[in-house]
Amino acid sequence: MKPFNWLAFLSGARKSDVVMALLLFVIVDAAVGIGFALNQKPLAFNYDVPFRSRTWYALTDLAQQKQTPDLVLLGASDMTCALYGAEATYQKKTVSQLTNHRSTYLESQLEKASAPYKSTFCLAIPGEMPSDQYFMLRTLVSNKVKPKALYCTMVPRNFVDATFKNPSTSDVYKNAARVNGVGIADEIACRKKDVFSLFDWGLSRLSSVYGHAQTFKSIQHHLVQSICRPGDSQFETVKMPVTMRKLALMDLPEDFAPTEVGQDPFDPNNNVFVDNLHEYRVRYSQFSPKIWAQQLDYFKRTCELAKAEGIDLVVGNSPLTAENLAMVPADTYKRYLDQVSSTVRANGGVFVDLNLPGLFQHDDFFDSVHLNGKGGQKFLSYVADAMSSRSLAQSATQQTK
Amino acid sequence: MVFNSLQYLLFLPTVLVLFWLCPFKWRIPILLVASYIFYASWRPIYLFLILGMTVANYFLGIKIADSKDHKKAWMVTGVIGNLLTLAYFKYFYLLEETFIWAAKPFVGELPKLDLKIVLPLAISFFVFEFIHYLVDVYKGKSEPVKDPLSFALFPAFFPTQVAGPIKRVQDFLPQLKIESKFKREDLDQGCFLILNGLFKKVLLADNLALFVTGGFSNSELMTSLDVWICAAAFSFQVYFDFSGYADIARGSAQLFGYKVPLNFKFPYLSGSITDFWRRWHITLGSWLRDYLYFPMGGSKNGRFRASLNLIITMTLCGLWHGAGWHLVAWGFYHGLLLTAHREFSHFREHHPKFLTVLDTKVGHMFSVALTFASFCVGIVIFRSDNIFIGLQMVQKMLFLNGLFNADHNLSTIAGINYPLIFSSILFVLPVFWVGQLVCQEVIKRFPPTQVPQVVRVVYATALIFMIVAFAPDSSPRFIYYQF
Repeated sequence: MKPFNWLAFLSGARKSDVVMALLLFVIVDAAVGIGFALNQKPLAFNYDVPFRSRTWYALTDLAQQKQTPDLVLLGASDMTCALYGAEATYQKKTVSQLTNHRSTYLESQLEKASAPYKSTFCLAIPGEMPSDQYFMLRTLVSNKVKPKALYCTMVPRNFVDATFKNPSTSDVYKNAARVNGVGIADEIACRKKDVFSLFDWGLSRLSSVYGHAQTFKSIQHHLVQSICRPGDSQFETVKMPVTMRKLALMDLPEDFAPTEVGQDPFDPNNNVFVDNLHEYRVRYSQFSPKIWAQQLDYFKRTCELAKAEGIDLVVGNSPLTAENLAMVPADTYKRYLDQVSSTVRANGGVFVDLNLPGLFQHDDFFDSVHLNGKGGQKFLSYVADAMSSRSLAQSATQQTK
Repeated sequence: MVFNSLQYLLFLPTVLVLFWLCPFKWRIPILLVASYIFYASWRPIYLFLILGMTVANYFLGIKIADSKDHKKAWMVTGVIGNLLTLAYFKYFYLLEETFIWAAKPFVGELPKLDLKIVLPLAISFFVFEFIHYLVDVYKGKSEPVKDPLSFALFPAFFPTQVAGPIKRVQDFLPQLKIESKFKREDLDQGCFLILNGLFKKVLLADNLALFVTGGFSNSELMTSLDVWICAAAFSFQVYFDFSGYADIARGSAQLFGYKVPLNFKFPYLSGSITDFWRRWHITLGSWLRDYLYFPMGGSKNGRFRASLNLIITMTLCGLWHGAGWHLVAWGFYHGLLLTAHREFSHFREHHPKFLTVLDTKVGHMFSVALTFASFCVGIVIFRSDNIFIGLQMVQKMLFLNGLFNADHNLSTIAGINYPLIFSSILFVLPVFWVGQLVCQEVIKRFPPTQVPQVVRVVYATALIFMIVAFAPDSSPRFIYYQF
C-alpha cells in the first residue's frame, strides 16, 4: 500500500484559504481564552451582559457585598413575593426587586428571635426550581462565598411543574454556568438526552470565542453605545417603550432595566386578590415522574452539599391557599411532604411546614400561591423563628457531642 | 434542519466526506439519501409528497416525450396536477376564508373545514422546477430524464431544496454525469460562500430582525419617519436573509463540485424597478418570464397587452410568495411599478431630451434611491399581517398622518437608546447601502483570485470570529422557508 504523502497534504493544506483561516481562528481563540483566564475574578462576570436578568442582578449584587451574608434565602416567587412585599411594607416605600437583595425586615425579626444570623441575602428567583437552588448553592461554594445558613422554600410546584423543560434551560443555570456554578458532570447530565445541546456545550468549552459570546455581545453593545451616544453608555438609561422592547426581544433571554421590577408596600385598602388558578391548573396538569425524580435528586444534592460545607439548612414548605392546594392530588402532596422532610432531616437540616392550617389567612395572599406584604411579614417572622430553632438545635447537638 | 444550525454543521461535512470517499457511482445515491434525510428532518410524512410528485413527474416527462398525438394533453395534465397540489397545500385556507367571507351576506357564516393542512417545506420551489421540466420536455428544450435517481435528485438536492435557487434541468443534470475530482478551489470558494451567507443571515439579518419585529408589532406607535426606517430595515433584513441563504446554498453545492445559479446581484443598487427584478431573486424572475409572461404573449401583442401581462405575472408572483391578499397586493404593486417604468422608458425613447439629468451620475443615484424607496413602500405591505395594516403604514409613509406622533415625536425609534441594533439603526442602514456599493466595486476590480492569500485568510478568519461571537442566541428561520 502506498504510504500517505503527508508533505503533499500539508503543502496542499497550506494553499487552502479555509484551512489557514481555521488555523488562524484556533490561534485567535486560544489567545482569547488566555486573556479571559487571566482576567477571571471570583464570582464576577468577566464583563457586562447584554441582557440583564434577575439572576444576573442577584449574582452581581452578591459579588459586590463586602462581607459574606450570614443567611442566604433560596426559593421561587413564593419567597420573592413574601420577602419584597414585607420589605416594602416595612420600609413604607417601593423596593426594587433587582437591586435590593437584603431584607432588613427579616434581619429585624432574626434579631428579635435571637437568631445568630445578622445579615441576609435573597438569591430566590421567580420560577427557581430545586435544580436552580442547587446551582445557586454550588455557585456560592465554588466561589468561596459560604453563608452560615441557608433557608430554602419548597412548594409542590417544584416537583410537578409541567411547564418546566430541562434544568439547563433556566436562566439561573445559564448565569451560574458563567461563574463556575455548574460542573462539567452537571453540564453533561443535563444535556445528555439532546445530542445537539451536548454538541453545543462541547463547542462552547472547546472555543473560547463561542463560550464567551455573551461577553463579546456586551462589548459590541458598549461600543455601539459609546459611538452613538457618547457619555450615555449605561444600560440603565432605557428609554424604549417596554411593550416594543419585550415584543422585539421575545425570543431572547429575560431582560430588565433596574427600575422595571419594583414592589409596592401593602395597602389594606387596595388588597385585590388575583385568581391565578388557571395557570396552576396547567402547571399541575401533567405529572411527570421524571421531573419529580430529577428535581428530588437535585434537592437531595443541595441538602448534601449544605451538610458537607457545614451550612445550617432550613427548608420550609411555603403556604398555599386552600383552592390551590385542592388542585394537588392528596397523595402527591403527602408524598412531596414526606420525601422533602425526610431528605432534609437525613442531612441534618430542619424542615418547617408553613402550610399548616391557621398559620395564614386568605387575606394574607394576593393570589393563590403568593403572599402579600402583610402575609410576607408574617411569613418572615416564622422564617426567623425557624432559623432561631435551627441554631438552637445546632448548639444542642454540639453540646451533646 | 436549517443551514444556520448545529445539525447542518454536522450534516454537511458528514455527507461531504461520504461523497468524496465513495466511488463515483455512489455519489448520486448518497446525495439523494442525504437530501431526503434533510427533507424528512422537518416532517417525515411529507417525504411521501416529494417522492410521489417526483415519481409522477418522472413518468409524465417520459410520456410527453414518447407521445405523438397527446404531448400537449400530458403536459397540461402535469402542469395542472402540480399546480393543484400546490393550491391544496398552500392556498386552501385563503380560498376557504375568501369564499366564506364572500358568501356571508347571502347564506350567513359558513362553517370552516377542519383539514389541518400544514404547508410542506419547499413545495413552491419544487413545483416550479417540475413545471419547468415538463414544459421544456414538451417544447423539446430538454430530453426526458431516464435515470430515476438523477431525476429525483433534481428537486431534492438539499443545498437548493428549501428555498432555491430554482434550478433548470439542462444546467443541473449534466453536472451529475461528470466524474469530477475533489478540488481545493471548490472547497475554498464553497466555504467562502457559506461564510458570507452565514454572516449575512446570522449577523446582519437576525440582528435586524429584532428591530423589525419590534417596529412592525407596534405600528401604531410609529411616526412616518419610523415606518420608513422600519421599511428600510426590513428591506435589508429580507435581502440579507434570502441572499445569505442563496450564498450558503451555492457554497454547499460547490463543495460537491456543482454550480447552481446566482440569485442576487446587489439589487438595491438598481437604477430602475425593471433592473431590480433582473437582480433580485433572479431565478424566480426568469422562471416567471419563461413560463408565465412569455406564454401569455409577453410584449408581442401591443403595449396594453404587455402591461396587462406584466401586472398578471407580478400579481401571481405575489401570490406565489404566500397565501395572503396583502402578498397579492404587493405583487400587483410591483406589476404597476414595472408597467409605469416600461411606459416611462418608452416615452424617453421617443423624447431623448426629456430628463437627460437621469443619465448623469447624480441622476443615476437619484434613480437608485427612488427605486429603493419604491421597494420599501411595497415591502411594508409584504411584511404586514394583513392588507389593512399594510395600507395604514403606507399612509404614514406618505406623510398623510402628519409628521409627528401623539407625543410630538418626529421619531419614536430615534429616542430609543436600548443597546444592540436599536441605537445604531440610523447609522447601520446607510452603512449597508454604501457597503453594497463598495462590495460591488471591490468584487469588480479585485477578483478573489487576485487578492493576496493573506488578505483572504484574514477576511475568512474575521467572518468566522464574527459569526461565532455575535450571532443572536436564537436565530430565526430563513424568511423564504415559509414560501
